[in-house]
Order: sequence, then structure tokens, then C-alpha cells
Amino acid sequence: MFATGLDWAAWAVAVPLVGALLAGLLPRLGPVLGLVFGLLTALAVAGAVMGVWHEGPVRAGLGGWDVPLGIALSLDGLAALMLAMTAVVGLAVSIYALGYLRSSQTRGKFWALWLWLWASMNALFLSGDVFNIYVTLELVGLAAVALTALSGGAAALGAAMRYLLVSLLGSLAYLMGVALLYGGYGVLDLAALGAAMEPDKVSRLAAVLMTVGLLMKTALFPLHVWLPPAHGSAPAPVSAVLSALVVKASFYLILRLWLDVFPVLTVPGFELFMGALGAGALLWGSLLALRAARLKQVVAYSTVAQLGYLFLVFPLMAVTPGAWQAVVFFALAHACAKATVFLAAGSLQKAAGHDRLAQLGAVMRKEPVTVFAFGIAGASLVGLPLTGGFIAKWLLVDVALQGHAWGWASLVLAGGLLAGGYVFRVLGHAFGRGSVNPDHRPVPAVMVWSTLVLALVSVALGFAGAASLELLALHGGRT
Amino acid sequence: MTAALLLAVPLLPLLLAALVPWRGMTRLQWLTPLAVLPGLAVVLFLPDGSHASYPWLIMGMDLQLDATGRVFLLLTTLLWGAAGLYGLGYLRGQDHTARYHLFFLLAMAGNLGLVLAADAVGFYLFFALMSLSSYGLVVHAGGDAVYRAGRIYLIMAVVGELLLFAGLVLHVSAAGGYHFSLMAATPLQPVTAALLLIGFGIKAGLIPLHVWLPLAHPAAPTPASAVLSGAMIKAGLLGWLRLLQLEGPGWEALGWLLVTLGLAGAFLAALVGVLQSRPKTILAYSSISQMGLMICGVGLIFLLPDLGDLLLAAVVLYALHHGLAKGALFLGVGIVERRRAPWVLAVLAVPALALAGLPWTSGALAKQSLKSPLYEALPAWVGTVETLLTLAAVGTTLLMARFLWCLWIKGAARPGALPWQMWVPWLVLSFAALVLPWVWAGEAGSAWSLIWPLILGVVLSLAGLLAWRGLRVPQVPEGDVLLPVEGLARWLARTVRSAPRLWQTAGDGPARARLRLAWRRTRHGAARLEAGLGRWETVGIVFMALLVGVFVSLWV
Amino acid sequence: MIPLYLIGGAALFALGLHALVVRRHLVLKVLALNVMGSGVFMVLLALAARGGAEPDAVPHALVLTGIVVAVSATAFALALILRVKAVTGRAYLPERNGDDPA
Repeated sequence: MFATGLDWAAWAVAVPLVGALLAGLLPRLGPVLGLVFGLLTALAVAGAVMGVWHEGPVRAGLGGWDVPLGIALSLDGLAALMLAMTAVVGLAVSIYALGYLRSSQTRGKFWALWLWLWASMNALFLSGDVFNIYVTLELVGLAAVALTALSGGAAALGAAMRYLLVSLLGSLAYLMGVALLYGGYGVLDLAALGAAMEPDKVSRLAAVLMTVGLLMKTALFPLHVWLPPAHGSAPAPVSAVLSALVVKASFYLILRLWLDVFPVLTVPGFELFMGALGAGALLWGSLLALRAARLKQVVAYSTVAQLGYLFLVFPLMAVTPGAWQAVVFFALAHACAKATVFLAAGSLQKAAGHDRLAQLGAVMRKEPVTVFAFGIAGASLVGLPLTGGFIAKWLLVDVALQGHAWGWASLVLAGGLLAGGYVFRVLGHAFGRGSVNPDHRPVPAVMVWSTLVLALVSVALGFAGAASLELLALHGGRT
Repeated sequence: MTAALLLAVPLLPLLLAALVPWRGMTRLQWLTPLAVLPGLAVVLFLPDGSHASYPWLIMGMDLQLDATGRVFLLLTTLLWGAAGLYGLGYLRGQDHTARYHLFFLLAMAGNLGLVLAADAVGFYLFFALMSLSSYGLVVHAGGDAVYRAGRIYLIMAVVGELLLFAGLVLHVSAAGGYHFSLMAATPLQPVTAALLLIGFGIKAGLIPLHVWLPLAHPAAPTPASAVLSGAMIKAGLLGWLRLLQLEGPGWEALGWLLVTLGLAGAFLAALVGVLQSRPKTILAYSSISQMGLMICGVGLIFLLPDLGDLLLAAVVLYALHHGLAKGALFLGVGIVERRRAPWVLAVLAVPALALAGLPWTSGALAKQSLKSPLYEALPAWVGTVETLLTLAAVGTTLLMARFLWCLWIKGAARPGALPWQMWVPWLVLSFAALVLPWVWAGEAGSAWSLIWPLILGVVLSLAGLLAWRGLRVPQVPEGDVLLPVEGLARWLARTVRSAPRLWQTAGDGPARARLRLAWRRTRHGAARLEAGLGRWETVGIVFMALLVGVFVSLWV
Repeated sequence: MIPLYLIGGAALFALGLHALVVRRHLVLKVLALNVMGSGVFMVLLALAARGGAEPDAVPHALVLTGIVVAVSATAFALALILRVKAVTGRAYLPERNGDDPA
């Protein structure tokens, strides 16, 4: 019998889980295990994506046990795209980490935790009921916090502690929402809930608790304050994963909930409120990115800003129902670009021994390939042509204009200008003239090239817009 | 086959651009001029109306060759090929050739691609690729003046991109699709038209948006100036021809605007250009002046829709003639810099005279074909426009005389070897400028209206030469109106900055210090607020507030 | 009877949230999170008794799973607190954001 897309998807959860266990038991073999299991996971994800592509969306209970007792997996275009995004970024980060993590102490822990995080994220994307989502959300959160604390310094531990508290608070709010939903409808399955949903008081309260809990984990302005210290103090591969993937996981849940479960609850006021929060994030994050003195802080605040775009999905969906596809494509483009930027920042930090922008110029001129990768990814963040970011912005502006939402369209354009400001603020140092830094430490080639390859993925996304949108159109949650 | 060939036109330079920057790939730079070959093959072998769709590429891309596109493609391939070959000799022994070739090939891909693009997304992509990578060409030489030119160029280019983007998206959403045929079927809204007019106008040197041009063209390395002035500014013109919906009942207001601005540009640029002393700056002003004539032609299409076809053909022919001649002139500047010989000047005089409209040159043909439809037109004002077009040739002649003069007295600034890679493309381009438009279009009409302005120009030049020998020519800074604008911007910024402090301090500190202070205050304010948001108590309060806020918003 | 449990659960959730924000010692914060969790579990259990007939088994399963998650999260949090205490000498959140003074 041929394996279906769902079988592949189940493997995409199981494989990294086994890898995490093995890497935990045999920390010395961490890099080898990480690479092998990373490749296998990517393979399984490829199978799952092909499955969705050919057979359309599927859902089934794990091991033959259907809901409510079993664990339901559901795989549609949105989930498949998220899996693919995680696999591409994850693979590049894994290869990068081979060169980045040299001290054996952190290395042993990193691989187990990272594969664990990968498995939890894949499980989260595949979960088809609200309680499973809670469990996977908690797994993702714990693994992410542990990775943040990995470097062990006071700043990292403080940031991790803050992140943990925020994350647990968010999860509990979400769980309270789950309890209320079960109380109201007696089911947990996303599709069943969506079918039964009534716009009553309990549902609204549940929606509020779940959404705000997830907002906390997504670090939407003004709940973003935990993000820059956590992403700024973690090791570079971890920052890349946190900024590119982990925050997207909670955003994915918000989107999933409002697409499949709560659409009957949406009212203009709510859409406007979320859009306003997004706009606030965009402006505030950009301002702070223009202000930050350290490279990784710039990149972290850029994440805060770009997360704002994601929440434009609410006002845009009000005017153009298909707008969520544009936003998901934006998330995809942002994931690739932001991971590249963090990896490049890590290389520069490693080469210079610090990441203070003012003194980074000389090192940047010695690392042309890394700066080139940073430039490409930065262009994607700004939305310059021939990158995934451009297609994403085009789609966003297009859906905004289709609905005559001029304000949101100009906000998207203004955000691009602001992003241009902080990207060129960094890149400007590479063009300036300055003394040659004698402290330049060469960066391992594997780091340089994995960064560049991921940057080229951003460019490839600029050429593959049509395919991604086609995959997204295979949406199966509403059945 | 057609699909592969059409796609190869922009793809080959892109592929080469991906290879050129790597260490050990220096030899590949020799392939740069050859990257235009697919384009040349398309011009020579594919019939009009060839098109291909690539639904898998970007958001579904369409490439198409039509009659207008063929002329522009011919011009683009010839200029880029010649400039590419020229660049090999020009940059020999210099640093950073890999960087130069990277940007050169990227801009080339953009320019070739936009000629063929048949949908808005593709057109915009290639246009932006060309504009933004040209920045790398403009600032290649380095130095403060060059960086200033680059900064102005970048600001104008980015503003242009933004307007263009907005205009295209507006029109696409009005038309419900981004194929050009679909977009042509939907009437253009005035706002959209204005956005497109300004967006492309910046590239085409429409006054008063031309300010980047006299700065950027002299700043760039000579082969890059040639393509900037010969091919790239034509992209703005092509954008208008493609998107402003020339066919149809005509649009009087737009037509008058274009005719006025075009003629004003033709005369004012000639006036300012004559007062310049750097040869490449004079050529840049001449480009603005010539583009003014073409812009006037586009305006006439809107005013005289009956003659639309003839005028369109004339504008396209004019673009071909001017692009080739201007390219040859720019390349010649680099030749004279290395070898100041009479024969060089003699060859240079050929495209210069052609630009001025010497009978039996391509310039005569182009001017004639632009003017001859006007003889038959009824409205009385057409005669005035025709006279003004003729008079503009006087300005061109003066500009060319001034150019040759300045070039000659300046002499060989950097005497050195003259490799064949430099003089062969120059000669080819000069020859092509003279002959090619003829091959394209047939014969010219009466010669007298061409000759008298030329003679008048020559006489004026000689008289000026004699009269102004001892006199100082009034100096107009390069970029003319830019300087007051720059000054105004600085003054505005200063005033705005100092306004809240006027009542505090009467003393006037340096403006830069104040700017720094204001920015530091903003930063500190932001930092304080961010720190406040970061306090754990605030997180709890904000969390609660959001719970309440979302809950309330769900009721509204 | 059931409303009492529901109200009690909600009250526990609110109390926990309050303590999480107000208490400064990290162990107290973690305890506060546990109190919040208990509030959620109480709501779930109260909902299990819907209709007065046989209790619904699913919320029980959810609570059990939730307790497992809460235990592991608490264990992890406590381990992290120990590390914070070992490195900084205090079991409190650093007041500053970790951001560089710009």
C-alpha cells in the first residue's frame, strides 16, 4: 500500500521525536544525529506536501482511534506549507549549527532540544483538535525556553525565565478557553466546533481567552517585550528558529482558530482592533529597530515590526475573504528572510566577538558572502523585487486595494520604507570606510554557505509565488 | 522554442550575474557583452506578436514581442552589448570589476526583461531590478560627489518605484488582472495616470523630475553612463507607451501637460546644458532635452488621436535614434579621455550632428517623421508646436558644439592604452546611430526645415565662441533646480527642528547637532516607554487590558 | 452546586493571575501559575457534570493530561529558577529588560 500524505505527516512528527530521544541519550553523537534526523524529517515533510498536492486535504485519527478519544491529525494546504517552511528553515539552521556550536557542553543539549522543538512544531501544525493544540503548544514553549537558556549567562537566563512565565500564562489562558468551548459544545475537534459555533457569550469569552493567550506567545505589540531580550540573547541558530518559526506557530493557531472555528464571531470592531494592534507593532517595532545599538537587537525588533503585518489579516479578511493566503505567504517569506538575517548576524557576531553596530563595519567588509546573504534577506524584508518579500507585499497591497482599504495598503507600503531604513542602517556599515579590525576571527565555511543557501531560498520564493498560493488553496478545515 | 528564447533574454544576464561575483570567476566577465545575444536573436528571428506564458514563474509571467518592443529591444541589446564590451577595456586593471559586472548584468537583465514583459508584475519587477541595481553602477567610482549623486539617484528611484507600484496596483485591481491586454481594456483613472506619469517621468527625465540625471550620468563609469542615458531612460518612455493607453479617444489635459512639459524640457535643458563645462554633464542635459521632444511626441498622440499610429512610430524611431547616438557620444567621451586625436573628434561629430538633425542622418529622419504628420493636422496650434520642435534643433546644435568644444579643450585627462574593446563598440555604435534608423524606416522628406536650425546653431556657436572668449560663462550648478530644493529641504528641516526651541534659546547652534539631539530625545523617549512596557507589572496590566479590549471589540 | 465550582475555578484563575503579576519571587510566580492551572481544571471538572446524568469522561482525561503538562512545566520552571539563582544570586526577575543602553 502506498503511504498517504497523512502517513508522511505522522512520520514528520515521529522522526524528530526519535532523534531527540537519541540525541538526549547520546549527546556526543548530537551533530550526526541532528543532521540525519533533520534530513529524514525534511523528507517526510516533502512526502506530506506532495500528498496534499495530489490528494487534497486529509484528516484521520491516529492509530485508528477517532475523536473524541483518539488524537486527530489533519493535514491541509496551510498545515503543509507550515510544515515545509519549518523543514526548510530547520534544515538550514541545523547545518549552520554544526559550525556555530563548538563547545561540547551546549552542543549535547542543543540537538536534543532542537529536534524536540521541531517535532512539537510539526505536531502543532497537524493537530486537529483544540486540546491537542494546547499540549503541543506547551511542548513548543518549553523546548523554546530551554533553547533560549542554552548559553547560560545571566541575560539569557533572565530572558528565558521571562519567556517561560509569559508562555505559561498564554497557554493557561488558552486552556481556559478550551474548557469553556468544551463546556459549550461538548466537542474539541476544530471542524466540529466550527460547524456548531454560535455567537453567544461563552463562545466569545473562549475566543477572547484563546486569542489573547496566543497573542502573548506571538509577541504582538504591546505584549512583545519578552521577545527582543529572548531572541537577542539566545545563540544564533536558536534566535533564527524562535524568530522565524516559533512565533509563527502561535500565529498559525490564531489564524486557524479564526478561519475554522470562530468566523461567525467576527465583527468589524474586532477586526479593526486587531489591525490597529498590528499597525502599532509595525510602527513601534520599526522605531525601536532604528534605535537599537546592537545588531541582534535590530533584527529582534524587526521581528516585532513584521509580526504586525501578520495581524493585518483581520481587517484585510473583512474586505477580501482570501486575504489570509497573502498573509500566510508573507509569513513564509518572512520566516526565510528573518532566519537568514539572524544566521548572518550570528556569523558576524562570531567573527567580531561582539555585535555592536558601530564597530561592525570592518568585520562586515571581511565577510562579503555573509553580508551578501544579509543583503538579500534584508531586501526580502523590505519587499524589494525578485524576493519572496516583494510577492508577499504585492499580494497584501493587492488584496487591500481590492477591498478599497487604502489605509491598510499605505500602511504596508510605509512598513516597507521603515524596514528599508533599518536594513540599510545595518548594511551602510559595510560600505563605509574604517580601520581594519585586527580581531577578525574567520567564520566556518558551513555557517557562511548555509546562510547563503537560505538567502537564496528567499529569492526562489520570489519566483514560486504561484505554487505556494495553489497549495494554500487546498484548505480543508471547513468541511 | 519561442518560449525558451524569450525567457533566455532576461535569464542569461541573470545567470551570469549569479556567477560573476565569485572568486575565480573573473574570466566570466568576458561573457558580459555576449549576454545580449538572445535578445538580438529575438529581434532578428522572431516575428511580431510572438509571445510565451510561464504560469509557474513568479505569479505567472508573460513575455511578448510586438512592433514597439522590437525597436526598443534592438536599441537595448545594441547599447548594452556595446557598453558591456567597452566596459571590459575601460575597467581593465581597476579594482572591484566583479562588483561592477554584477550590477551591470543585473541592470541589463532588468532592462531587457521589461521590454518583453507583457504583464504588470513582470514589468514592475524588471523595471525595479534595473533601477535599483543601477545604483551600484552610479556609485561605482566612489568619492563624496559620487555618493551625493548616488543618494539623489536612490531617493528619486525609490520614490519612483513607490509611485509606480501604487499606480500599477491601482490599475491592476481596477482591471481585475495584470496582463497588459486586460489592463488596456480598462479605462485609466486620473489618479492612476498621475502616479504612472510621475513614476515613469522620474526615469524619463521629465522636468522637473529630471534632477537626478545630470548628477548621476557624469558620476557613473562611462559605459554605465551610456546605458543610463541611452537605454534606461527610454524605459520610462516605454512604460508610458505601454500603460497610458495611447489608443482611444485621446485625453486632452494629459496631452497638453505632456506637450508643455516636453517642450519646456527641450528648451530649458538646452539652455542650462550650454552653461555647463563637463562634457558628460552637457550630454546628460542633452538627453533631458531630447527626451523632452519625445515626451512632446507622446503628448501629441493624446491630442491628435487620428495621427496616433504615425506619431507613435515616430516617437519609437526617435528613441532608437537618440539612444544609439547618445550611447556613441558617451562612449566617445571615454575615448577622448585616453586619446585626444582629431580623427576621434571627427568620428564623434557624426552622432553629434545626427542628434542635431543633419540631413541624411538618422537624426534628420527621426525629426522628420515626428514633424511630418503635423503638416497635415488641422488645428492651428499644431503649427506652433511644429515650429517649436524645429527651433529645439538650434538648442541641440548649440549643445553639441559646446560638448565637442569642452571635450577638446579638456583633452586627455587619463592618457593610456586604448584597447580594441573600447574603440570597436564605439565605432559600431556611431555607425549604427547613423544608419540603423534608416534601415528601420524608409526615407526622409524635405531637408530645409532641418538644415536652417542646424546652420543657425553652428553660426550661433561660432559667434558665441568669438564673443565669449574673454567672458565668464554664467555657472549653473549641475542638477539645477535640485539645489534650491535641497536647500529648501534643509531650511525646512532646520525650521521645524528649531521651532519648539525658539522660545528657549536665542542662540543658533549647528543644525546637525540639533538633529542629533532631537533624534536622541526620540530614542530616549522610545527607550523609556519600552522599558516601561517591559516591567512585569505592565505586562500583566496590558494582558488584562487586551482581554477586556478584545472582549469589548467582539461586541461592537 | 455546579455554578459554585465554575465561579471557584474562575476565582482561582483570577487570583493566580493577580499573584503572578504582583509577587516578585520567582517560586511564588510559578506557584501562582499552578493556582491558575488549578482554576482551569476546576472549571473543566465542573463542566464534566453537565446535565446531571453520568459524568462526561473526556474532561477527566483532559484534566489528567493537563496535570501532566503542568507538572513537567513546573519542574522545568523550578530547574530554571535554580539556575537563575545560581548565576545571579537572586531568585527574582531582572528588572531591566536585558536591552543594551542605546
